[in-house]
Amino acid sequence: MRPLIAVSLLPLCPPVFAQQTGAFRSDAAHTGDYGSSGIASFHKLKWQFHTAGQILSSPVVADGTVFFGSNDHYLRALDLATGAEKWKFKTGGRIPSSPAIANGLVYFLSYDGNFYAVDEASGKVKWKYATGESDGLQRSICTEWSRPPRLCPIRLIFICRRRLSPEDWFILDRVIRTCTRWTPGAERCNGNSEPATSYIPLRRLPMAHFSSGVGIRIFTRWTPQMERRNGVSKPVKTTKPIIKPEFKLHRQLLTASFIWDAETQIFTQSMQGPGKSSGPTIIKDPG
Amino acid sequence: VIASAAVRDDRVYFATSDTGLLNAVDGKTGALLFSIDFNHWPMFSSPGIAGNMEYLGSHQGRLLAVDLASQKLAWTFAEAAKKNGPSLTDSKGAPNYEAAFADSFYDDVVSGIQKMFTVGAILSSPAVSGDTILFGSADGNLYAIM
Repeated sequence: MRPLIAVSLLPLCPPVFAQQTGAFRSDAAHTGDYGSSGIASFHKLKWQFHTAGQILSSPVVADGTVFFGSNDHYLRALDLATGAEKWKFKTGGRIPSSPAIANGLVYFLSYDGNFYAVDEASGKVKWKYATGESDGLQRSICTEWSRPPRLCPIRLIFICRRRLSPEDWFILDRVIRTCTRWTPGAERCNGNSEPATSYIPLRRLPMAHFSSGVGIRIFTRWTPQMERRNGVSKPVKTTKPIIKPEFKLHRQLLTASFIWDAETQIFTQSMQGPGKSSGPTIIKDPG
Repeated sequence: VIASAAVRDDRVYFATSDTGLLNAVDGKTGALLFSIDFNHWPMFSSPGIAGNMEYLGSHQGRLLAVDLASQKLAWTFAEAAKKNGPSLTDSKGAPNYEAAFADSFYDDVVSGIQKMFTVGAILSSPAVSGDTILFGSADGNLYAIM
């Protein structure tokens, strides 16, 4: 049945990768190998564009446009030839994430806790997905959590104000979990890693992969045909999108549906804060 | 090693974040092919390869262009922000962390890192499109050079 379902869906799918694609380090495999010949000697500064924040994001070029995030909370699209700003999109946090471009959409993460899909041409948001906690959690550890000693042990202040080691973070995590205001499942996202390139067999549609502190999340714009949890793949009986209550936004837009996520150890990184620096990877199924 | 490696033709290129080295190793054996010393300036920027050239940024506020044929530094592009460098550079040309970090408490680590970034640290990985190299900088600029 599965091949039949896949075939039946194909006519419904819009043209894939009609526009150029782009990703952190050139391609989905992140090889860092660009097709051009490069320049053997420096000639001149072509242009420079100033933002109000540090630019830790790596620029990505597609369709004569440069896309990049800045710590001033904006994702920008500049004309490659002139450096002129085509559009900018404001998020609620800094954007060290490097964008990935496919399907006419720009995919990236912001420290406001959201994974965004923004229209490549207009800069308008197509959909967004809340990955978990935002920068607010880091602030709350220092202030809000430590305010009521009954709910949050006073030692949180000590841990926060002093040197942090991975062990400290682990302790911090355990302590926070004892707070009554802590919401299980709302762990901070701290995925700074670059997602690996892979695709789920039987899928014939591109997907966006990125990592967060609660694991790797994978999205497709179309109805998933199988679900993978805890390392086990199983077919989904219905062709309707898998909609969970927390994904109401996607149900409204019907442009993205959640497939699966893989649990990882939280607080695997120390001193990085609730970062979402990962660059999404767009996968084109070779089939 | 914080930066992702670049891979081409069974060769792996990666930069180090502590010793400031750009290394090339054989992808099958791990044997070191060549290494270029950038004097302990941290490199978080993943190398980008185009033609016979390899580009990467350093915390020193410089984009480094390495000729893969000669295995030597071909040219560098220095940002305006590098003028902040002397006060954060020691007598041997290496980063002077003592000038940036007063002690090892968390608050100071953050401010120290930010102080080092004022040199115009390039953590962004360069992208190459045609004859243009693009990269972001901690000085707030996106640079396009050719």
